[in-house]
Amino acid sequence: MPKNEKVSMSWLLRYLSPVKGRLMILLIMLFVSTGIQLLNPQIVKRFIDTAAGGGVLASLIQLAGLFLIVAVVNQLITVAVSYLGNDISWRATNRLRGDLLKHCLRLDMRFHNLKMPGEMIERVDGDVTSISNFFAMFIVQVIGSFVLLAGILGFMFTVNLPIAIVMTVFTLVSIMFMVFIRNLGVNSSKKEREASASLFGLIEERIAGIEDVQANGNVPYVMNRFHRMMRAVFLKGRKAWMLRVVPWNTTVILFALAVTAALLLGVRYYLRGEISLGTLFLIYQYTQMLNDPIERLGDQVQEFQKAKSGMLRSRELLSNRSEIVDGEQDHLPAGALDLEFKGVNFSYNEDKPVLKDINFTVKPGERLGIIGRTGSGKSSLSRALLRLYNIDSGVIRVGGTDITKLKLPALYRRVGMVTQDVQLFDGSLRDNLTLFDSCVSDEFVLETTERLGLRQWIDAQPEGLDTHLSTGGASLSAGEAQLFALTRVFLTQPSLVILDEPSSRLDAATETMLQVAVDQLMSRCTGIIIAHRLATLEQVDKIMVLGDGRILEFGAREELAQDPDSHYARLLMMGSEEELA
Amino acid sequence: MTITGFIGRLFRFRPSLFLVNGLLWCIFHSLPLLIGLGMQWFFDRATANSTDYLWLAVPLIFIAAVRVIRVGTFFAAFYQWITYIYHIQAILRTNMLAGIMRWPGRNLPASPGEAMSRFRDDVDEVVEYVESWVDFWGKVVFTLVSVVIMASINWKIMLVAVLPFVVVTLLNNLSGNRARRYGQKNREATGRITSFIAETFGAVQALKLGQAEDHVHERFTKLNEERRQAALKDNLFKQWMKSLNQHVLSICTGLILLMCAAEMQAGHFTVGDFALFTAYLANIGYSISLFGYMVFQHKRLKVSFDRMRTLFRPGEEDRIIEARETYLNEDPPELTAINRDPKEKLSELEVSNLSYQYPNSENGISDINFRLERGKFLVITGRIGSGKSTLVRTLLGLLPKQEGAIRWNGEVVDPATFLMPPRAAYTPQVPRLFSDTLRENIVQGKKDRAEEVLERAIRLAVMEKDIEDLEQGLETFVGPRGVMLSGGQIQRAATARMLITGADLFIFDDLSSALDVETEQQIWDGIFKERDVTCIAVSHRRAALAKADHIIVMKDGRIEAEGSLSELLATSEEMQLLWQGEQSPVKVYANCTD
Repeated sequence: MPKNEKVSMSWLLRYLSPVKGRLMILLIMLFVSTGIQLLNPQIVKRFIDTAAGGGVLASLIQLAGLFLIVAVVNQLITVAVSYLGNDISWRATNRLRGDLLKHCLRLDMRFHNLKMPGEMIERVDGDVTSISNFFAMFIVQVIGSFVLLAGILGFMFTVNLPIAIVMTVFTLVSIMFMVFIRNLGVNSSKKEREASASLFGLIEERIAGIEDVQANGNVPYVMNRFHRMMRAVFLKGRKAWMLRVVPWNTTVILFALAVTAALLLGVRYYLRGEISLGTLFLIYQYTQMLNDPIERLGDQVQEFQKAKSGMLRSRELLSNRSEIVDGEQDHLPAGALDLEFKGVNFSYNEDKPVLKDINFTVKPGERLGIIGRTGSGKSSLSRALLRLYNIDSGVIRVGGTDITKLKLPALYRRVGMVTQDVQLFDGSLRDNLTLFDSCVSDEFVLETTERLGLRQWIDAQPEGLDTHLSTGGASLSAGEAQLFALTRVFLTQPSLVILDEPSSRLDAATETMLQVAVDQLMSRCTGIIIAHRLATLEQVDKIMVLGDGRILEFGAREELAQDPDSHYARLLMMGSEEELA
Repeated sequence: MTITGFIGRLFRFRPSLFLVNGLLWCIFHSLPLLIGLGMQWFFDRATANSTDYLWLAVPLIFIAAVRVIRVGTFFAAFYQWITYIYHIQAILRTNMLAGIMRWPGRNLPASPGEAMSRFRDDVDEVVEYVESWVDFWGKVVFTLVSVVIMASINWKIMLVAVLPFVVVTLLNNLSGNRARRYGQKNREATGRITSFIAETFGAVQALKLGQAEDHVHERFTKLNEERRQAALKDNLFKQWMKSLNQHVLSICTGLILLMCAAEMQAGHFTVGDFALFTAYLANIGYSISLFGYMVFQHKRLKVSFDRMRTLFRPGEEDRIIEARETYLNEDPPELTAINRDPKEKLSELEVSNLSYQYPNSENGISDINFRLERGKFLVITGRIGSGKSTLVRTLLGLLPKQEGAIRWNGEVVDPATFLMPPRAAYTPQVPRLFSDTLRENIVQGKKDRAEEVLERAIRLAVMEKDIEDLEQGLETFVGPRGVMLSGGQIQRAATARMLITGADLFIFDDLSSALDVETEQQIWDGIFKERDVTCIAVSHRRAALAKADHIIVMKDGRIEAEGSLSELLATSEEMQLLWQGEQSPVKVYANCTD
C-alpha cells in the first residue's frame, strides 16, 4: 500500500513542477503567518502579566496595538495565501485536465464506445476538481501545520518539560493515527464519484436526445431512472462523507484528552508553586493553539481521501492505453493513393467476425462503390481502414504502405471520411467547419462551401462564418448538417476519401446538384463511396457488394451492370420494379 | 420569485430535516459556551489559592466531557447534514430535469454539456448557502448567550460586540453587485468547459479523423485559462470580503482587550473572566464574520438561481422549488401502463393554417392544411430545407406553432401534451439511442406484455436478423448514441422503439435515410400488413411515395402541391423533379442493358 501511495504522489508532482516558484512563495508566506500566530499568545501573556501586575495603561495600549497589527497582517497573508493557493491549483489542475482530454481523445474507439459525454465531464472536470485542493493546499497545509506544531511544541519545551512531552506524545499519536486511517474513505469516495459520473452521464444524454424521449412518451421512464441514480449517489455519497470525517472526529477526541492531561499536570506544578498563573494561562493558550494545526491536518486527511479517489480515477484514465499503436513511417506518396486489402479479418468482439477474408485493390484515382444491406460490414470496413480499430489478421495498405506501420497523423492527413453521424459544436460556423484549426483561411472555406452548395446558407447567416451555431446545430436540418460534414473533409484536401452514406438525408434534387461538386472535389483523390442508394454510385469505377462480412461481388461497375446474374444488376432491377409498382 | 422566497420554499421542502439540522448544529455550536464557562470556573478556582488538587481538576474534567459530547453531536449532526445536502440536490435536480422534459423540443440556453454545470455547480452553490443557514442558528445562540454572559460580567462589552455586526452587514450589502458579477463570470466559464468536454466526446470520431486533437486541446487550454482567471477573481473577492469582516473584528477585539485591562487594574475583572472573554471573542468573531458572509452569499446566490431558472419554460420558472417526491429513501414506483381512452382513438386528424418561423430567420413553414383519416398513409416530400421536418416537429409540438390549430377527432388539442403515446409516436430524422442495452432502448421501461410486444416491434422494424447477429442479441450494449450499431440498425431500433408504443398514429421523419432499398421495402410492407395503421412519413423515396394515399410536396415552407402520386406526377413540376432524381439509377441500368 505505501508503495502505491508513492506512485500516485510522484505522478501528481509532475503537475506541480511548473508552479514551483509560486509554491515556494506560498510556503514562505505560510511560515511568516505561522510565526505571527506563535507570537500572538506571547503578546497576550505579557498583556495579562502587565495588567495583573498593575502596569501602566500606555504599555497596555502598546500591547493592544501590537495585537491589532499582528491580526491585520495575518489577515492579509491569509488572503494572499488563499489567492496564491487557488492560482496554483487552477494552473496545475488545468494542465491535468488538458492532459486527460488529450489522452482520452487519443484512445481508441473501443474506449469511447462505452463512455457517455456527461460521464466524461465528470472524469475530465469533476474528478480533477476534487484533486484541486491537493495541489493548492495539501502540501502547503501539511507542511505549514507541521511547522506550527513544531513551533508550539518548541515553545512548550521552554515552558515546562513534562507537559511538553505529554503534548508531543499526543501529537505524534494523532499524526500516526491519521496516517494509519488515511485511506478509510477512499474506496467509498471512488464509488461516490462513479455514481455521480453515471448520473451526469444519464442527464446529459437524455437532455441531448430530448425529442426522442418526449415524443415517444418516455419522460416518466427517464425520471424513474434518474430517481434511482440520484438515490445511488445519495447512499454512496453519505457513506463516503461519514467515513471521510472519521479522522477529524478521532483527532478532536484525542485532543480533548491531551489538553485535559496537560492542564491537570499544569495544575500540579501550579499548586507546588513551580509555575505562575500567567504561565498556566500560556500553557492553556498553547494547548488551544495545538488544536488548530491538528484539526487542519484532520481536514486535510478528509480532503486527501476525496482527492485520492479522484487521483485514482484520473490515473486509471491516463493508464488506459490505446490498442492502436502508432507506426514509424511518416511518408506517403504524393497525389491520389491506392488501397489494398489482403486477407483482412475483423471483429468487434472475438467470436463474432464482422469482416471475413476481404481482398481487393483500388488503383490511385479510382472510385469504388460499396453496397450491401445494413449490418453487412460496410461501415466496419471503413473503420478498419482508418485504424479506428485494429484488424484481427491480414494487411491493409494505403499508398503501398501497411497502415500499421504508418504514424496515425500521417494517415489522417491524407485520408478523410464523411460519416452519417454528423457532430456539430456549440461554436462559430468557422470552428465547426475547420475543427478549430486556425490555419485554414476564410477564402478557402468559402470557396469549398460555394462548391458544395453551402455558401448561400452561410451568407444568409447574420454574421457569416462568425455566426454562432448554438445547441449542436439544432437550427440546421439533417441534410444541411451533411453538407457541413462534406465541407469539413474537403477542407483537409484528402488523397483518399471515404464517403459513408454522404447523401442519405438529401433529397434527390439536391443530391444531383451535390454530385457534381463531389465529383469535382474527388477528381484529385481516390474515393470509396458507401451507399444504399444506387443513384449515388452512378459515377464509380468499381462496385463491391458486401454480404455478411464477405465480398459477394467485386468488379467494374459497367460489367456488373450488364451481367444479369450479378447482385448489382439485381439491385438495379429492384429499383426499376419499384418504379413500376 | 425572489431569492428570499426561493430560500423560504427550500427550507419548507423538508422542514423536519431543516429543523433537525438546525437543532443539532445549534447544540454543536453552542457547546463552546460551556467550555468557556468551564475555563472561567477553572481559573477562578486556580486563583482562589486553594490547594485541593481534585477541586481544581473538576472543571477540567467537565471541559473534557463537553468536548467529547461535542464530537458525538458532530457525528450525528454531520449525518443529518449530509442527508439534507442530498435532499436539496435531489429536489433541485429533479425539478430541473422535469422542467426541461416538460418543455417540448430542445430549448436549452446552450448545449446539454453546458446544462451539466447548472446541474452540478449551481446546485452546489445553493447547498453552500444552506450550509451557512444551518450553522447560523447555533452561531446566533452562541453569540447571544455569550454576549449576555459577557455583559453580565461587564455591560460595556455588549456595545462593542454589536458594533462590528452592523459594520460587517453594511460592508457585505454594498458588495452585492460585484459579488454577483464575479460569480456570474465564473459560472459561465465553467459552463463553457463542461459544454466543450461533452461535445468533444460526442464527436470524438470526427475529431480523430480530422486530426483535430491538438486544436481541441489548444481550445480547451484557452477555456481553462479563462475559467482560472474568472475563478481567481471570484475567489479573491470572496476571501477579501471574509477578511474585511475579520479586520473589523480584530479592531473590536483589540478595543475590548483594552477595556478589560482597565477593568482588571481596577480589580473588577479576574484572569478567569479574561480566559472566558478571549475564548468567546474569537468565537463571536467567527460568528459575526459568518453573518456578514451570509449577506454576501445571499446577494451572490442570485447568479445560480437565475441560471437554474432559465432551464424552465417561461412562466414555469418558480417550479424550480416545487415540492415533490425525490425517492431518496425508497425506490421510485414502477411505471404504470398508459391508460387508453377509447374516445381518443384516432378517427381523423386535421391540421389547419399551421405556421412556424424560426427566430431571426426567414425559414419556417406557413399556412399548412391537411386532413388525415384513420388507416391512411400520408407522405410529406420536398427538397432539403423545404420545411418537411419543421412541419412534422411543429405538428408534434416540438416546435411551438405560431398559428393554426390541430384537431384530433374534431377537437382542438395541444400537440405537445396530446400527441404522444398512446395517441402518436415519432422517430426523428436522426434518432438517438442511449447508453443502455438494445432491449432497454426499445422497451424503455415498459413492463406489461413486454416480450410479446417487443417481438412484434422487432419483426416490423426488420431487426430480427441483426439481433441474431449481435453477439449478445438484445442484451448488447449499444454505447452512447448507439455508436456500437450501424446507422441502419440505429434507425430501425428507433423505429421499433416507436412501434412498441402501439400508438394510433406513427410519424416517421425520414425513416429510410440510412436503410437500403430492400430493408426499407420490407418495413413498409410489414407495416401495411398490420391492420389499421395510420402513418405520416417524411420521405423522398419511391418506396414510400408509391404506397402513399396522399402526398404533400413542400417548397420553401409552403405546400407546393398535394394529391396522389399519379396526379402529382402529372401536374407538379417539383414532384417530377424529385421523382426524376430518384429514378436515375433505373435509367442508368436501362442505358447499360440497351
